[in-house]
Amino acid sequence: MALLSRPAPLARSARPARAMPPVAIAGDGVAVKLGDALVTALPEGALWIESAKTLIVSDLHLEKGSSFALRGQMLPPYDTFAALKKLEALMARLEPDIVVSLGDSFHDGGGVARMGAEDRALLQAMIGRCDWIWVEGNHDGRAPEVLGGVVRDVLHLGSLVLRHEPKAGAAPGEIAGHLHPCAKVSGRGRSVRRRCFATDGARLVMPAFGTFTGGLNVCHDAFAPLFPEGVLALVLGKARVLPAPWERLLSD
Amino acid sequence: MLECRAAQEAVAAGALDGGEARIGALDCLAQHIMGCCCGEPTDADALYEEVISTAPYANLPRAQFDRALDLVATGGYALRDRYTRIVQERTTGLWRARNASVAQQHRMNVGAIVEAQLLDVRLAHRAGARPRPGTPKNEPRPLIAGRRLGQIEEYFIEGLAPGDSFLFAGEVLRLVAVEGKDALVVRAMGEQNPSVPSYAGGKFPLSTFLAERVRELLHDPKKQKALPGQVRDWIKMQKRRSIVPKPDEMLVETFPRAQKHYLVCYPFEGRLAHQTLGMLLSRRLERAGMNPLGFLASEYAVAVWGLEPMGGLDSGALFDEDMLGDDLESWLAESTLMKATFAKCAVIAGMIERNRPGAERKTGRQVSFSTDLIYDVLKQYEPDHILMQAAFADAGEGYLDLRRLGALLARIKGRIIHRDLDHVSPFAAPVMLEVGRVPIQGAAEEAILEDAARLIDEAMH
Repeated sequence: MALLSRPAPLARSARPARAMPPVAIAGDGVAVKLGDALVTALPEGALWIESAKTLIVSDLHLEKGSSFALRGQMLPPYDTFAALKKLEALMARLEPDIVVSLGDSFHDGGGVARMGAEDRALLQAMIGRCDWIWVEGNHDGRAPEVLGGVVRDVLHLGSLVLRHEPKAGAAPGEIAGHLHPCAKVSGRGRSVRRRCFATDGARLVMPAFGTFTGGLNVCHDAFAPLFPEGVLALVLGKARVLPAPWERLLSD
Repeated sequence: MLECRAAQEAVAAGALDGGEARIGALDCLAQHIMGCCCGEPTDADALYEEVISTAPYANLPRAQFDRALDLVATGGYALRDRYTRIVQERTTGLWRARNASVAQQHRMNVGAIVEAQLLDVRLAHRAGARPRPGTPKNEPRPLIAGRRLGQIEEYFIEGLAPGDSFLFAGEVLRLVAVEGKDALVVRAMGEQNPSVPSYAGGKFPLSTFLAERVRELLHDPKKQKALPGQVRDWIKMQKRRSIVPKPDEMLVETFPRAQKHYLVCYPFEGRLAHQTLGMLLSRRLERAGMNPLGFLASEYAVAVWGLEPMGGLDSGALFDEDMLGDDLESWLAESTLMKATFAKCAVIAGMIERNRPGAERKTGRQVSFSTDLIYDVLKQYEPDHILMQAAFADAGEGYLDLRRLGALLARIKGRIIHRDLDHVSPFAAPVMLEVGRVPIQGAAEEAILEDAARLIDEAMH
């Protein structure tokens, strides 16, 4: 039966774990110190800043379904509603003063116009409930402005800098989206691939909040210039956020 | 070997399998409708008449046909959308493709067989001696994909971790990484115990009828004289290491292997009934806190593996007949099996495209990720969508054989022999090499994540 057994996996020694930002379990989320600010990663894929009562979501990619339908792929037209409902539930629970949508709020510039009446009314009611800020993304630009709220290129929040596309070499305290980080965690002969927050204690890249948004593995080259010392993945579990260290992450 | 021998005997006895006629599937119908409309303006009534003149669709109600037509035209959602693939000409009432690009996209995606995705196996070598400026000193130099050795099915590579070795093209290779459509490998001569790939494309379900003959063969020492020595040795080894059950008994074995714990049972009821049994068993084990990771059904056995030892379980209770009362449908709706079936239906019906003009072919992994998301949304917001129905029908036909399973559970009641072994038994060995593993997306996935999180916890305190 020699052919049945596999060799023990090699130790992954190539990537030393140098990035180990201090994290703490906070309820079902994980709190991270980012510069001198404390932010909490939530299992829904949103970021909560208690001190500023600010809720941040990124890459909603609303109307991605209808964008595909335009080209002849009839995806279910419920993606926008599903994403908004998830965000609405978070807002009801946390009662934020400020909500930031960190870019690529719509899948394309025409998304706002394609939005169904019911979804539009729901979104506008949510916008009316707090200070709503759209950060410009590469997919949608300033398009969501007509719905209400204000549009910013970059948003400064205390010592934190919020922008859509992360900048290599940015000062500590940057929160960005754009890359849709995913982590593949190995263990017991199997791997699990989930959306995640990526952080090294200096900066943080948020997972995509959208319903049909895919993900890019944090081991991909695109993350290397942002996290030269390796990255800690805060993986979105079913009910809570689970930190996964660099050594346990696999590339695709 | 046993199956060949059984088939030989069956041929000699003149007992042949009858293939059961399949009922026409809705996803294939949708593709046909789209194809007709791309060819020329099509009259819906005439097309319906033509479709029901074929045997598989003879009993297709007009309402179902109209739903399929609607699926092609607008996606068939309860929430009406303004987007269409085919349109009705105002004057003639005939249906045609909306424009040339929609028709081209359709032609690039025609086909009712969603084949297993293949990866290129390439020999990898490290890039030049000098690292790129800016890369940290100890960072390994990037890998360069070299000569192509051949192709391998993606699911097999998925089951390996980097560092695992396998036999391929007459060599022992070690997997280094998977990049895009390439599996990068290095030669690993002298590596002990490489895995042996098996091919899902070569998997052809044997009939339940044949499985029955195998069972008889195994139980009857007289018949075994015709078997080759190796197979007789295999049965002898099984007798020594574990037990060969009597015809009216069912053997259950539990053993640990490679950090996992296995439960293998041998009902000999054929692949379909075993698939269903695998689903129900793993669901029970999940509830019993055994954290099952996956299961596998072959013609004669079912294997379930998990993170906890299963030797202490009461096998009588585990295989009780009330199992069938479990909520099979809701389990199925959550299963990866169902998601995979849905993905196939969605591709065939044209909701999701395999190929786009000018775009490089995507790998199966990328495609399956997005169909999972679509499945979840549809399940939540429109669970009775026509494609969900098609997927349920396909899964029901392809993976369930409740009648046989019910008969099995009644037959083995009180006749289960359990052996708790310290390693894999001869009977279990071929099962472990079978293809078609079904992962379970349950607590075990969370347990893997929690494992990793625990490392962090320990490092912090």
